[in-house]
Amino acid sequence: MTLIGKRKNYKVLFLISMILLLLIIFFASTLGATKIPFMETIKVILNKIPWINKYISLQGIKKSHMIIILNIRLPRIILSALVGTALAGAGVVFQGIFKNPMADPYVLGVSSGAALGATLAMILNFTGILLGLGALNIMAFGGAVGNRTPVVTLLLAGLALNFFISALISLLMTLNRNEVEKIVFWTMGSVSAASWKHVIAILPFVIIGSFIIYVLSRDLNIVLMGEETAKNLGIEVEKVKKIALIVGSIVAASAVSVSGIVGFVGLIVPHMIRLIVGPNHKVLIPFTLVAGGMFVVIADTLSRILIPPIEIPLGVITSLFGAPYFIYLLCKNKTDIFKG
Amino acid sequence: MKKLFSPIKIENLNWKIGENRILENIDVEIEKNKFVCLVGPNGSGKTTLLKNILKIYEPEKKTVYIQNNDITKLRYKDLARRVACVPQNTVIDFNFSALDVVLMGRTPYLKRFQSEGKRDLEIVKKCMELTNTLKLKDRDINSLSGGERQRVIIARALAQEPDILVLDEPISNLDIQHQIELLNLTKELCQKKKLTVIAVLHDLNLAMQYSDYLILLEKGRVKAKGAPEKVLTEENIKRVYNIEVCILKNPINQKPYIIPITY
Repeated sequence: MTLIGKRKNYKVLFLISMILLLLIIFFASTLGATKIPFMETIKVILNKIPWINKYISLQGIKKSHMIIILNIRLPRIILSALVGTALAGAGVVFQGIFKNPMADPYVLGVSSGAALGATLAMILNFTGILLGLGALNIMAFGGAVGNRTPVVTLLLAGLALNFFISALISLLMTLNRNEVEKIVFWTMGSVSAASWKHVIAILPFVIIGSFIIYVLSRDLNIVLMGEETAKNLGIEVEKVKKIALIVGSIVAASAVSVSGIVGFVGLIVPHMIRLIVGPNHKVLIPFTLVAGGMFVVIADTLSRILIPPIEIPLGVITSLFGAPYFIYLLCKNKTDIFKG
Repeated sequence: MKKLFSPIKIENLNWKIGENRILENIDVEIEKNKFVCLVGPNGSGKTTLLKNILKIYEPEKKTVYIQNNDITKLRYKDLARRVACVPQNTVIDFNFSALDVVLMGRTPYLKRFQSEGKRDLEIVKKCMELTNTLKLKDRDINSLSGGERQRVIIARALAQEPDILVLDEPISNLDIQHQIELLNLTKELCQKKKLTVIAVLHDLNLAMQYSDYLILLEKGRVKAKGAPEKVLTEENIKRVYNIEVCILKNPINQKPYIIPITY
């Protein structure tokens, strides 16, 4: 399929997917332990939007319902959308720059690095080092890229780092038995503690990061042709690699810092979208960002409503539903899923 | 202004990989609008030399000049507008349409936030017509035959609107019909589009027939350079390739024709 002739179609499709994401957010905020009617929820949310709020009357809506929607459900849903966008965005950029279908923030050890930071923070009652440890991995990557290490070596190093850090987290858990529950929850991923503060904290990282990732889409396409060809087509390959890795790592680490390790999103969402729109990053990246948001909002909603009052950790849901679906996709598509 | 200088000038270029000296004291000046062939046995440094011209390897300062610009001072983008390359291996792992692949040739002309415009599309279409690939534009690059794919890659190189076209063993994987078609096409481009062509060829007879200028490499050194019939002599071939040959005259175009002596 040629992109240039389909640009218009993709624009429409992208608009539709954005609307779909909004609808999913609306719908998710009506679901939960407290039954709040759909129309009531819509009214409460629309009332917060300027210009539209003049036409909305909040008469007859309980104050408690308003608080549940605005201060509990909505920040959580928006946070999960941001986490999904961030992880999927990091996944798509890593897969592109490594030209490897296995690359994702979890596999590369970026997520676990950030989680180690979180664990330490919990034990030491200190919150500043969260992103710091995610950054540690970036340094490792940066050094590796500078030396033009083969991709496979880099992936294996990330994998090893991942195991090493997971071991450190387990060790910390054994030594701090009273914190175990909190840490375990963290390593399985959750956005249950979400507040508007969290949303605001990661919003700039996700928005700026996504923007940079999208700007890199042409470079990523050309890097797929091979690094030597990319150089010959005028791409500063080493520079692009560094930017991509740093941005991907920061975006992923910002997501992990509010949600813990939510596995699988960065891996499968880009693949699912690649199956639909092909390997061209100009299309792949925007749809992946939106789909990542949808995926985690749906997963988190399921984690809230499946067996109330128990909350299933978010990472458990994404893997529990994501993995079989992904395997189904792999079986259904006889062609190479990565190469399209 | 840039047209005044020779397209490629190499002065005392050395290249080492680890402790192995791959290129030694290369001195070459290539004239504009010539079809230049690079010949030599396997491992004589042909591809390494090309990679130095393409800045895939970073040569030392003041050794390689592209249109009088020190290559180390050129940005990849500026280099890509002057030199385009058809690599040895044209397999692309990912499924892009032929048109998308050729459009990538416009990259060096696009600003960061700019997408391909009407003019770019027109240039791309022209390049695809020249290489007879326009009818393949919607096909996936991986569904094409080797010869078709090679022509698409040449179209991509032409879309860079280069002054210099570099081909690394362009005919090694093609049958004889496609070999001749491709060389005719490149020769034609050299003449019509005023391109300077540098091609690595293994077939000495084809090199003899098509090139205006020949560079013979041996163990990283330039053994001989100049007019093809002066470079590919019986003695030079014996010394570099270690085979006995006999040189006859091609009855059609009167050019020398090399045959290895076997009994």
